[in-house]
Amino acid sequence: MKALQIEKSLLRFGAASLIARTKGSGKGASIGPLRYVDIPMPKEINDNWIEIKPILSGICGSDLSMLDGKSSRELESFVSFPFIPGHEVVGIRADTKKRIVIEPLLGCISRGLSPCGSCLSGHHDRCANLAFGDVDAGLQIGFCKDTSGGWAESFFAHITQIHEIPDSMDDSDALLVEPAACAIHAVLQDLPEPGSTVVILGAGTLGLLTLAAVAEFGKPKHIVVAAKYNHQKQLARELGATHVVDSDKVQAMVRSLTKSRLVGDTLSNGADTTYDCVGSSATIESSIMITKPRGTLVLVGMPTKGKIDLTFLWQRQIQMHGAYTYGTEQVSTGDEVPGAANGDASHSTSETFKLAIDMSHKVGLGRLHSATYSLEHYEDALLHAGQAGSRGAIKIAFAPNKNKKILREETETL
Amino acid sequence: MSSRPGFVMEVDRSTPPTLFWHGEGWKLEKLPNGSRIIYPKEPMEALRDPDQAIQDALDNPLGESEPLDALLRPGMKLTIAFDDISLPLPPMQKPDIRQRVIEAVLTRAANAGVDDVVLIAALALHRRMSEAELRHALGNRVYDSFAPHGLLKQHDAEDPDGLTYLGTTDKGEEVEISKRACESDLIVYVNINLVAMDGGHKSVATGLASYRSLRHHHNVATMRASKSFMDQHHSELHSANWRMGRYIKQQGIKIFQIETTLNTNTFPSQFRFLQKREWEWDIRDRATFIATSKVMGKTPPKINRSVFQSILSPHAMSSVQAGEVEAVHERTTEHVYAQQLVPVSGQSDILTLGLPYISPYNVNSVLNPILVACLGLGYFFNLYRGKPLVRQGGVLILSHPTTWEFNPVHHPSYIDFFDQVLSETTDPEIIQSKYEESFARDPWYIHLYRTGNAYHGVHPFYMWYWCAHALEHLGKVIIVGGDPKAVSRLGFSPATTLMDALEMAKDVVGPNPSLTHFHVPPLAIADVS
Repeated sequence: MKALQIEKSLLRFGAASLIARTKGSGKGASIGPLRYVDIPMPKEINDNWIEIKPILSGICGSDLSMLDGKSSRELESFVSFPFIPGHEVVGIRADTKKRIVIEPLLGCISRGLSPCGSCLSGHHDRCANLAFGDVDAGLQIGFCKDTSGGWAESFFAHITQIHEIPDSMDDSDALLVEPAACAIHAVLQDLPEPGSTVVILGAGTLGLLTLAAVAEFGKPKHIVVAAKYNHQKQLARELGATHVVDSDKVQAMVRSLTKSRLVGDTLSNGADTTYDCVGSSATIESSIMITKPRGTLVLVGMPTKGKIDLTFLWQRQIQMHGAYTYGTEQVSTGDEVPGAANGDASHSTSETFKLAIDMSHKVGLGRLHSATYSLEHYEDALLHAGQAGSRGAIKIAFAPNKNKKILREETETL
Repeated sequence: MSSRPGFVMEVDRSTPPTLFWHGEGWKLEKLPNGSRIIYPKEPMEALRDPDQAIQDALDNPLGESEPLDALLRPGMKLTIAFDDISLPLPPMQKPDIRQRVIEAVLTRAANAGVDDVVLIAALALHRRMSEAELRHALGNRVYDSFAPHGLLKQHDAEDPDGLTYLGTTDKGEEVEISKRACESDLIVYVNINLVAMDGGHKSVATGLASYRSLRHHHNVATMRASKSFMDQHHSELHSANWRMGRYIKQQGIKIFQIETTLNTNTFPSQFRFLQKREWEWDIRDRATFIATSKVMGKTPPKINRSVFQSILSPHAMSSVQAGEVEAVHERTTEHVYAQQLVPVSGQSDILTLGLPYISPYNVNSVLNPILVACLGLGYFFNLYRGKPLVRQGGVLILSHPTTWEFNPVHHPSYIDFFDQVLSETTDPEIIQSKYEESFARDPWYIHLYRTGNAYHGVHPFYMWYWCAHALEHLGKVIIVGGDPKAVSRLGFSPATTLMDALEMAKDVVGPNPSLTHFHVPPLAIADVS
């Protein structure tokens, strides 16, 4: 089968890192660790694993970060080489021919292990056994050598990782389900209070999906989105942002909305919840400065390495935490609980992926899908993904079972 | 010797290029043949002995008022309020008129045994003045006598303990002004009347009022119904202030109004070409123009700004009158009109204006884009009596660099207004209904207004409302030589040259448009028939 495979080569990772730093994200593909290969299909793991043929497989920020040599090497313990990336997948089950999306996390159940406490309660995002069991180490499909990945003509997914999608759902909407699930998980961990002020830094895929999730599940008064490019600003407005600003105007906007005072560069008050969907040292420090004392700062997506001044995290007693993948969520049903305090509502439990499928279908998140490439033209695809903002794009994807170079290109002029 | 009147000149082939102000600089522009240029009247003769004129005015009040001496008695509370840094423009050479008048009043108060005297800078929602600015306006003697004892105050429109709510006018306008002024046995208001809009009941009813009170006339509806601010009898801004002023009087608050007018001798001798007609420039004027233009072209804008902001005007007092507010202001207006009115016949399709570096709200500061808009559309557009100089649906062409630049100390809410409000809409009514309250009540802006040197949070809104009449009247606004991004944010069209702007204007007013250039400053009011 044709695939894009990553080898463990320090030299190639180093070269890609150098190119990315000097010439920009996605430009080191030709000399980096990723190779277009023709390899045998991996051997079947057991009867619980189903062959999937990807229709679309997205390029995630974490994929780019890894290929650019920006991600932390500490994660290497949770990766098995050589592996085939690709974890944002809409595909077809080889056995039933049904269209599905996959939930790529490799927790206890998919690994054939007795569930750990987290997996038992549906929180496989917190699984303790990411490197053990029937398959080799790997946080997810797309980082594990035994499963193959979405950037191949075929890969294996555990039966529990497969979610059927409605016939009426567009492939592009389905492509955005996995990152949408990440965003929903980030939002539902700390659902903003009604009437609160929320800030979302970044308006790439994760930023816009986090915005969609905040608008879908929360009722904040203000949703401020920091966006760099015009097409991002336009999409942010479409998806429910109440205020869209350039990143250097966020503090002034938050100050205005929260009626804060300025003490030096810090606000006396600030946003109730800030979602940093960029993850650079600069945005994390900015997030700390605009989040109110005792407010919440959520790192959505994989942050890059760097130095951060945490003085005001400490002084403002901000609750900062990461939001990784998905699992099971508590969702308010809107019904009041008899006998409960005013405003308390009953909750239902739902898999994040189910919520993501519904949201993507309802909101039409496929509008974020900007361009599609065949595997063979991965260098162009990665360059496009690395320059997505400046090229008017959001989500770039592969169509691993198609051969035409560019299969979708519709947002260049936005 | 009487000064030559203002006049309207028609451009022909022999007409030399015309001076256009362009921020901290100027340009010479060749206007199309047949264009009209309105030149201001030359400066009227100044009072030969201004100090004696002040004494005479205090002794011979106008209207139903006793002479000042008869109003002063031991044990009384006397408050002397005075116009702030926004007047005159540019700031005048020493001694400032305020110093002359206040020293005269204080001498009489001392002679009468009045010892409870407080001076208040009538800021309304303007920024607090610096010590240097207060010293310049009042003189060191007055400043050193009052400031160290806390008796020189700056009006605080946000001090809950320093305001008195008096009630409402018959139109439901809330009247809330300085508590000290209300509790005084006499308010002496010391005014400088640079343009016909200033003075009268506006002095106390606006200068010493709170936001609660000001919002009743500083709003879009009032501004659109003021045609123009320079014509009291067709200005709703004046009507509202007059209602409030009369209401204040009905509450038993006694005001002794002292108003002064200035001639239009605006620029010092080294810049005399700025107030001369171009064909009368002599060799020295031409040399000065060329030299200053070349120097300014090579020096950094910030240095140019500091040079221009250091200009002190030689304008001199042309009249002083005191007594009852309305009688005084009627006489004052006559003097202003005598200096500034220029008869003009009919409107034109296009009006061109060169905007200078200064407006009432950027003394010692930056003329930011909002103030550029206000100076052009709020002030200069409204320098008319009768009808605007440009027809309904016509085009206004302004010349100004309009840089995206703000003074964060003086204009903090302007920055947010430009970023957060004008980026969403330039419609004054939407701006007023959707955003004003939020900015006006913002505790940070209030803090900076009360304790720093910042204009009130609502002030940029008022600047935009000043433009409302022009925005409603005009078909297009073009700024020549401005930063395209800043100009676009204002909702206007940028043009590189005047010729480009004229071509753009033709899309709105058609080919062969009529054009009028208003050659200000020095200031003039077009009396358009």
